[in-house]
Amino acid sequence: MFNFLNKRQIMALWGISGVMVLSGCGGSGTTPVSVDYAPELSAQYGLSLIGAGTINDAGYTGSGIKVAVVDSGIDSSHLEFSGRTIYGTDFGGSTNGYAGDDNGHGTHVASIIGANKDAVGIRGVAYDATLYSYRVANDSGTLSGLNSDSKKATVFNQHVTDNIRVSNNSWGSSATATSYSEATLRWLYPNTISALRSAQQNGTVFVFSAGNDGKNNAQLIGGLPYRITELANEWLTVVAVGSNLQETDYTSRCGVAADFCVTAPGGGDDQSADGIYAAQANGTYVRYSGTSMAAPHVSGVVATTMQQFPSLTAAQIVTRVKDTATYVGLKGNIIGCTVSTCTTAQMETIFGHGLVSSAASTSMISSAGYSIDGKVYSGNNLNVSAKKLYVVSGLSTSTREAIGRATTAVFDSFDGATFNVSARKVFDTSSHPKLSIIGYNMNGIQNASLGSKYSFYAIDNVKSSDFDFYITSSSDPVSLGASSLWKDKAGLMPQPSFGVTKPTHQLEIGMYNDKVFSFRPFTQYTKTDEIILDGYGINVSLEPFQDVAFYGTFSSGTGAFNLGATTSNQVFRKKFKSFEIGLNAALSETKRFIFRSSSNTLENSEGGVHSWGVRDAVFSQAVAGFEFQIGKPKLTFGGYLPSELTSGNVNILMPAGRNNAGQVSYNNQSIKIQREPKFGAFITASIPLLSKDRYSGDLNLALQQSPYEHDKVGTGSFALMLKF
Amino acid sequence: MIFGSCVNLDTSDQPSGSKTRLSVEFKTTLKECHSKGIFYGVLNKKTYENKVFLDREIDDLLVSHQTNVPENIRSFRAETLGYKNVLITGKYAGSTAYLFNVKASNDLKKIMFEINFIDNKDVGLSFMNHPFWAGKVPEHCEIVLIK
Repeated sequence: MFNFLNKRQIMALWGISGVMVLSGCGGSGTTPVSVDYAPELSAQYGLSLIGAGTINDAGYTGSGIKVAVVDSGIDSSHLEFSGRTIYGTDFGGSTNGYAGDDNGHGTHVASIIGANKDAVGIRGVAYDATLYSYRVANDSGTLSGLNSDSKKATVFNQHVTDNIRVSNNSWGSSATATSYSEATLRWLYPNTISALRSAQQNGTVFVFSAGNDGKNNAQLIGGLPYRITELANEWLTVVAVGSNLQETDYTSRCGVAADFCVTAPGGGDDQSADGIYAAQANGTYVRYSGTSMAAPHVSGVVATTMQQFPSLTAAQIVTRVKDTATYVGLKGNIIGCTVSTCTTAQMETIFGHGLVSSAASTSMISSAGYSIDGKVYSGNNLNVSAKKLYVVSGLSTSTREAIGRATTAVFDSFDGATFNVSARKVFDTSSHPKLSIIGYNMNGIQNASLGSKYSFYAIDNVKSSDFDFYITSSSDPVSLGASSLWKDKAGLMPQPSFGVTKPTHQLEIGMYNDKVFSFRPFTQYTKTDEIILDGYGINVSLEPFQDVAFYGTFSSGTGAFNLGATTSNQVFRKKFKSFEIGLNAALSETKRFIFRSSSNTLENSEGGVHSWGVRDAVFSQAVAGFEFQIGKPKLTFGGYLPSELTSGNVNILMPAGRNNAGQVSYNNQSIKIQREPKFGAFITASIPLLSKDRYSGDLNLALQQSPYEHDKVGTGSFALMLKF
Repeated sequence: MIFGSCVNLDTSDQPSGSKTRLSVEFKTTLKECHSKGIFYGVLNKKTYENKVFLDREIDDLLVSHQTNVPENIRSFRAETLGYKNVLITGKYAGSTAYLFNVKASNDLKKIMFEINFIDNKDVGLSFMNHPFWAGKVPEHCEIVLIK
C-alpha cells in the first residue's frame, strides 16, 4: 500500500534514514537519476538535504514549469545551461542583457534551481524547468530594476505576461516585515502589491529570501504578507541553514512571517567552506551563503511539485510544501534548541514550517481516494489506503499481475493531489480466487442454504413409455447442463469462482434413449415469482461398450456472475455458451474412471468504474479421478483444474487524472487474460447412512488441495445430508 | 614594483565613521596618481573590513577567497609596468542593499580613497558578500585611505 505520511511520520523518516520514502509515484523505470550522475548530485549538498534525488528519481524535474529568477541575470553561456533556452527580460538597463550576469549572483541562484543534469559540476533541483531571467541589476549590480514601486510592478506584471509559475526572489530590503504599518506599505507599494496579487491569481508562487541580517523577523519584502495578508497563500519566505542543518548566524528568522515561511540549505557561516556550491558567471563555480541560496532550493521543490500535481492551485502547492516540511534535524541558535528541546513556538519562530522536503512532490499527505463518481472534492472517493478494490475472481496469477501493472490515478484526500500509481496499490491482485468444493452431491437435496461455495444438484427422473423426463436443479447454471448425466458425481466439477450461486432448473427430455446412444435436449429456467427461461442445450451420451460412456453437452445459458470492483458482490446476469465433454468408464465392478472438461464463452460487456467487463472471455474447468466403491461407500480421488478465465480480455474504467475543478477523467483499461493452468488434487467420499435399514442420507466428505498454494490444503468440507 | 614600502592599513578596530589619514612611503614618479582598470567585485568569504591590500597581499587574499569577477581578476593580476595593484575591501554584509562605493581623489604624489558604505534601505541581493574595489595605481603614489 501507499506510504501515507503525516508530518510526524515524515519527520520520523528523516530521523531514521535521512532519505524520504517515495510513495505512490511512477518513476521512469530507468536508472534512478540519483544514481545516474551521482557525483554532481553530491557536489551540491543542499540537494540531498531536501531529498532532490528522491524527487528526480520519481520523474519530477520541473519539466514544463516556467521559473522566473528575479536577479542579476543569468550567464546563459555557462555549461550548466548549455542546450537550454533562457528566456527573460532586462529590467536593469544593463549592457549584456538578461542572458548575461555581471554580478554572478543570478547565475548562482539559477543553477541551484535548474542547472543541467550533465555529469558536470552540479545540477539543479528542477533541472528541466524553463528558466526566465528577469534581470533587475544594472552593470554594477545595483538593483535598478526594482528601485521604485512602479518598476517593481513592471517586473511582477511580466510574470502574468509570461505565465510564470514560480518566481524566485533572492533579494530584499534591510528593513524588516515589522518596519512599516500596513497602511504605510500600501502607500509605498500600491502598484507592486497589485502586480504581485495579479501574478498570484494567474498561478504564480512567489519565493523570497528572508534576509541575511540575522534579525528576528524576515526582511520587509519577503515578509510582505505579514501586513499585506492577501498575498500570504501563494507565498513562501525562506530562512537558511548550513550543511549541518544548524541555523546560520547570518539568516534572519521567520518571526512574524512564520505562517508562510520555510527553511532550506543556504550555506554555512563559513561560506568558502560550507557555502552552497553552484555556478558562477564566467563558467566557473563558487560557494556562496545566504538566504539567496536557500530560496532557490524551495523554488525547485515548488516547480517539481507543480509538475507532479498540475491540477493543484498555486495556494495548494504552497500548502503542500509547508505541510511536508519538517523540523527533524534542525538546530536553532537559541541555546540547545532542537526539535526535541525547543517548543513548537520556538521552532516556528526560527524555521517557520521547517525544512522543505521531497515529500511535497512524492508523498501522500493523507489517505488515497479512488474516485467512483467523477468528482474529487464533492464526490465519493473510496479510501484505498484502508481497503483495496476487487479483481474478478478466476483470473490467473499472471493476469492479476498484469492488472497490477496498469496505471491508475488516486487522489490525496488532503488536497486532491493526483498520484499515478500502479493498480496493484489500488486493486487486491494478490488474493487467490475462491475455490468451489469438489465433492459428491446427493440426489434429491435442494437446499440453497448450504452456502455459496457448495453446489447442489437434484435430479428427478420420470420415465414414460417413449421418453424419459429429467428435472434437474443446481446452484451452478454453468455445469447444470450435464448434471443429469453425472448424477451424484455432478458436484465433482469445479464451479466458476466468479459465478454466483442461483438455483436454476433444467427440464430435459430423453430421446433415442437406448443403451448406446441418447439424445436429450433441455431447457433451463429460474423460478421467482414467475418462470423465466434462461437457456437451452442438448446432452448427448454414447456408450459403445459396457458401462463406458462418453458425454457431450452444448448449451446456451444465463448465469449470475460477480464482476464487482468497488463492492465485493456486484452481480450481473450474463449469457454464456458452454461446450463440455466427459468420460465415465468402469474399470472394474468397484473402480471407475471419470473425466469431465468444459469450455465456456461469456457474453461481452464493457467495464465501468464499479465493475469489470469482459470481451471474448472464455473460462474453462476440468476434473479427472478414480472412483472406488467399498461396499456402499464411494471414494474418489483425482485432480482438477479450477474454473478460470483462460482467454479474452477484462476491462475496467480507472481514473486517469483530474482537472482544476476536480472533475475526474477515466481511462478504459483492457487487460489480456493469460492462461496459466493450475492443478489441484482432491479426495472425496460419500457414505450412505442407514437407519433401521432405511436410507436416510449421506455423509459426504471432501478435501482438496489449493492449486494456487500447493503446500496448503485449500478447502475442506464436511457435509452431512440427511433425507427423510 | 615597490615591495615592503607600504604598511597595512588595517583600521577595522577604528570607530565607524572616523576619518584617519594613513600614509605610505612615497617614491618619486613621473606619472599622475590616477587609478585605472577599476572594477568592483565581491569575495565569497569574510576578510578584513575597510582595508587596503597591495600586490602580494592581494595574491594571498585571492588564493583563499573566490571572487565573482574572475575575468577581471585575471586581467588585474597581470603585471602592468609602472603600476601597482590596489584592492580595497568594504564591509562584510548580507545584502547588496548596503552600497559600497570608493571615491578617489588625487594629486601628483598621492591618491586618496574614500569608502562609502550606505544602508540605503532599498533592495539588494540577499547573499553574504564582502565587497571590494580594485584598480591599478602608479607605483610611486602614496595611498591614503579615508574612512
